[in-house]
Amino acid sequence: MSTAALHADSHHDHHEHKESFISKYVFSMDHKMISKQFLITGIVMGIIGMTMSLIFRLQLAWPDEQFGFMETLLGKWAVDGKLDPNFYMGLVTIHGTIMVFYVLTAGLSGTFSNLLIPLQVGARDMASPFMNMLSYWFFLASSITLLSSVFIETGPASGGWTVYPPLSALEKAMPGSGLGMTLWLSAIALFIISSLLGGINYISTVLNMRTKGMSMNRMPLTIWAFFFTAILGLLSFPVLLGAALFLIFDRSFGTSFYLSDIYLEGVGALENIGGSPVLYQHLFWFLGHPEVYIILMPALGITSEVISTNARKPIFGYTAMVISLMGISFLSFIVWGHHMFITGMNPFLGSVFMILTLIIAVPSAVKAFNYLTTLWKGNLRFTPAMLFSIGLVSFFISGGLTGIYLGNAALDIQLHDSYFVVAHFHLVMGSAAIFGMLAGIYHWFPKMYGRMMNNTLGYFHFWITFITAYLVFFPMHFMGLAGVPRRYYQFTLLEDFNVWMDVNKLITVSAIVGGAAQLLFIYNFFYSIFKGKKATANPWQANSLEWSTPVERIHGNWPGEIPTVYRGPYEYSRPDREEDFFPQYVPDDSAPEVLHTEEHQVAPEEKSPEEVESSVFFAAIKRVFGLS
Amino acid sequence: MRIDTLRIRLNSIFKKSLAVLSFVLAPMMLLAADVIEPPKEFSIANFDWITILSVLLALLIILVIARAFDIGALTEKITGKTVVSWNNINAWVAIIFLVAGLFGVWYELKVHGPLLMLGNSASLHGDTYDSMFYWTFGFTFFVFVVTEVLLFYFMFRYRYNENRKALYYFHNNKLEIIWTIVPSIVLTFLVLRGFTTWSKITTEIPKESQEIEVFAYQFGWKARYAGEDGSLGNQNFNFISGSNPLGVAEAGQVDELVKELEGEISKLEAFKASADDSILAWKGRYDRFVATGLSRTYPEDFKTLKTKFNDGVSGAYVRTLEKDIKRKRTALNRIAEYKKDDGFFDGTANDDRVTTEIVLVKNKPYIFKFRARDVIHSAYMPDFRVQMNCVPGMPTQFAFTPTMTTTEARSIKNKPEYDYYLFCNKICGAAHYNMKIKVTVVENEAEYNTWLASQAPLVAPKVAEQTPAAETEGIETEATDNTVAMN
Amino acid sequence: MPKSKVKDPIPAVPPARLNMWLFMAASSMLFAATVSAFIVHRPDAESRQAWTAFDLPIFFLYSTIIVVLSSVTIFYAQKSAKSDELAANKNFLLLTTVLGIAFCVSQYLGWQQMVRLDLTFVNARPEDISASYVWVITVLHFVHILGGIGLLIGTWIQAIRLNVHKKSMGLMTLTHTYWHFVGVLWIFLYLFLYFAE
Repeated sequence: MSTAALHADSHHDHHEHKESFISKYVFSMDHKMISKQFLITGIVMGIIGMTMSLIFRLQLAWPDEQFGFMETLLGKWAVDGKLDPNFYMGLVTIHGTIMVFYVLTAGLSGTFSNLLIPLQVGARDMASPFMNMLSYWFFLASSITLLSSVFIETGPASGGWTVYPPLSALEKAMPGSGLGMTLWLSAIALFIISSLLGGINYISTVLNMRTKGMSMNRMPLTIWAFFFTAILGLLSFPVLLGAALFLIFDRSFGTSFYLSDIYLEGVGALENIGGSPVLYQHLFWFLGHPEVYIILMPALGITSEVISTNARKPIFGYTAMVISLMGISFLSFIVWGHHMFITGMNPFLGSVFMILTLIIAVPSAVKAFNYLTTLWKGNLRFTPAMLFSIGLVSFFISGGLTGIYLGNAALDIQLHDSYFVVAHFHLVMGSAAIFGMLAGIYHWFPKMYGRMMNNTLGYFHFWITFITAYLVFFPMHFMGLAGVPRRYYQFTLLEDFNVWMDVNKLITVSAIVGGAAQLLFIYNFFYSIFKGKKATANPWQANSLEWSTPVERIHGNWPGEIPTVYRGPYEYSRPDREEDFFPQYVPDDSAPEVLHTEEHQVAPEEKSPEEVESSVFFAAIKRVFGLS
Repeated sequence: MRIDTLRIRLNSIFKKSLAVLSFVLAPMMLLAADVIEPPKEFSIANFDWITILSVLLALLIILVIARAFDIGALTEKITGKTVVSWNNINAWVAIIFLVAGLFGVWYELKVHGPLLMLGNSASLHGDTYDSMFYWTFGFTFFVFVVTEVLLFYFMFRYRYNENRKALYYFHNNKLEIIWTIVPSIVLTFLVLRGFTTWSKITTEIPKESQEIEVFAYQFGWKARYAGEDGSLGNQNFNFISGSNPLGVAEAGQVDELVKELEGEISKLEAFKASADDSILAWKGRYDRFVATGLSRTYPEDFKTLKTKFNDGVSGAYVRTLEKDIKRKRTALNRIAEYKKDDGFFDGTANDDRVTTEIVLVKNKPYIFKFRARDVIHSAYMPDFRVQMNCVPGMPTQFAFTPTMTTTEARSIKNKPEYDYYLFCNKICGAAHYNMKIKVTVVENEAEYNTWLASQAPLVAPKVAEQTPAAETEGIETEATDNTVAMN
Repeated sequence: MPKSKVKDPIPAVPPARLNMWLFMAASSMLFAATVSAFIVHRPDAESRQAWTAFDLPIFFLYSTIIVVLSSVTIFYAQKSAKSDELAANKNFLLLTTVLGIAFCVSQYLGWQQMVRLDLTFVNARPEDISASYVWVITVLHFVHILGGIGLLIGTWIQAIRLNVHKKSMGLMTLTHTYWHFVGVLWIFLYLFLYFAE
């Protein structure tokens, strides 16, 4: 007896008696409800993380000013309205942790993997709905643990989101390394469990539960992206767990994995000998670098889907997109050393990591060019989702290019830990991934709540956010190039940095305006849940399978049989069709699956480029990866 | 008058909402009772203008848009025509953004470009570094401009038109191969250049380089120069004491430390022996505090006492003492081990100079040996294109040759007060932002020697053979040193 | 909602089994991380006289033998279940469980032996970081074994209730796979530690 069939049956049984509030909204096992839980928790965490960044931006722009409300808000951490340096470090750390793990890993991947994987591959639910539910509750527990650390007497963990020992291992080194750090580690352990439970489910569903006709090469790029993301998480999070375990042992039991030759003011020489602080960095970045792609790839997948749908044009180079995702995933495991060029690592090892790192630029470039070509000669409908996707492409290019500087070991000597790094990753990973998430929310809101979000507010939200994001992060490149270090509480003590005061003010004001623009989104989101315009089943005239489900979100997704898939997901504007879209689930025997002939590809007035069917290279790659 | 009433009303609204909020948050507040203080008297003057303005701005935007949208939707419904074509508006905004953005990039390059640490590096390898940077900048800036222009131009050019159908164009192997291969070639070039630059900087170290130890601690830097014998003495973290912050193997100071440690151990032993009595005494005080109500008049003292008392009863007090004793014993044993090794205390350290400033000679190769004693720090000298982490237990190094004196830098930058600094660039604690040491590059060896001579060696050279006045002076300084150490 | 039962496509692999394989991949990565930390850390610590190689306790060898034996018994448990020999299946399951518990005891004795040699988790001497690694690796594996014993007992109870037979092999196969995984894992870890120490 197959378990999946059992599940499917039990879903139908379920519907005959009404579900209780608890089982429907709280301990729900329906993937759509779980995805909403992830989303709303993610949004709440996002607001908290953003507010924290605004608080420390205020400190950076007006270091001598006293902000009365800060004392009301933070109590002893802002006596006389002036932020405490220790708490500044805490804010920086928790902002980073929240954004990286809680918003952009769980909030983005958790939401959309849960929502879209079953809907787009044609499954009634995840492979294991119970594990899926556990995944959310571990995530929530983890969020609460992390947030509770802000309220303790010694303050939250404050060694930066990378929590390098010995700083994070020694309680006497800074107040945040006490209980705050313990809570941070427990939160991360819970988070790892959550993301492993989720990841196992995503992979298992994609591999095993696709509907009839949904072969791997007919999967939407979103699914490919979630699939590789889940694999990255599955293989890299256990390593972080190992790193965290060693750190816990060093902190609480007195082992010497990371500690050696330490003398602490007021304590004296410690006993630990022979530990290696750099070992932690190796273990951490073995997760840390794939983590960057865990954040970015779902956003890229969402963008591919949204751009193709709203350009009314097939995504350009589907196979190349999949191969570049695959290449990025593979390479991301062997480049972690580029975070450590100046740790005193063997210079030869540095060269190796440099070469591997710069190779990643190739698949990334392919992706960027393919997005551009998809837009070329399209028929672009600017829905808010489309705008956010285009914004992502813009960020991906401008943030990705600076990666070529940082991946270069020689250039990294000067740029490491400067504002250049801050600018780089906030553009390519922070803003780009947030834009992907917002694009996803605007695009799939009708599938989540059966209503539409307000487009006008969406446009304002997009343009304000897009412009302010550039205003915040673009000038930071220049600060970094002038040698301004990151994670500084204030710059007034170093005279050379005074020239950047006006830039700091500009950044902070832009950040506040950008933050205020998010209120539009919050308002739009929650208003539309209850009062938005009623959606139709397929409001964007899209091809993929999720739009074949009814507007009422039912348990089990499809009222009848799961539809069969007849073709790839990006058959837009086919010359042989009346409408400009051709859903995957519409049978039409007379239509060939793909139009391979050249005359269909190029408009008559265009010169027909010579067909390169002799492309042994591509054919070989296709065969190697079994894509054709 | 009206503004005043408004202020009062706002005040009361705020207070009320705070009261409601604190009622809701009461359990959390109880948990965090010592963190969050009761709200002070609210005064609108406490807000600075920027916060007020931005919040107002945000609210205004929401209102305006909501209104505008309502009206727009209504007219569209009535006339049945599209009044606002958002597609066109967005396309035009994209073009405006593109032009404004390119102008912004140009403005930034023009205004902030000259401030960058590029072009006039103060070290030999800095020029190689800068040329590597310019090559990378050339390629990336070209790609940046071309792709961004195309992106926004496409947005404008191919905006929606219901009479048009998009081009059905799903792949073109030739194109895809081109943009796989072209970036690969460019990157190969950058990688090769980066590889040679990196190898040159990290591995080509002149043999005659002078060693300087740069020592990082929370929160400051110290440098150690070799004295007349030209070599730096040994060091170990177990030797660190108040008067010997770098833990240099200098017999006199280490002996002092041994005495100090032994003293501390016997003190701790005494505490441990009388632990029961202390706990009883604390209990007595604790009971008295509770009985007389002093616990409420002096809550802070009572809290400390309570912690002490609890630690005493649970045995944590004795355990901490035992741990301290064990740690100090280990340190003593390790010092004894080193003491047995004659080669370790060979006296090379005696003439070393520990300084609070780094002075270098122009065009002389140096090799900086970095050490840290508590957490990871990073020595960052942007003027010299130098950065290296300082890791406790793992010595690191960076070799470079300064090529520009401080005076020259001042005249080039046109800033008479300009100084080179070495910053900390790895998060290391609360005062991370203020951890720096001045670096001065002088023109010639003579200036450097004068400076070095003015720095006191670790052990004052034997002056007994000289005048009796100098002798007493020497003893006096030693005596003051000792008192400092004892303190 | 449709009144009639709808036939959904049946997954090629039972989801639980696939999930188990994925879990095993994840936990292999955890061990890969600890083992590579061991490999990377060793030369570094050796250069600072903070690493001593020592002989593994003899009990770890006994554990290895027990694991090999239990792999044989779980293999027969699976085989007998497939051919519907329910009594044999029950007995083999019980035997495997007993061997699993014996493994735990043997590990415990091994750790005691290490403590007697002063090779404690929190190093008594600075040069015993190697011992800390052995502790971490063996205890992490022990946690996996405990999970395995739980699965074994669960399967055994199901077997008593006659729920394990030719047509209901789901749980049995899971247990079988997992027990082989922890077994192979232990053999690998033992050989690694044996040759590394």
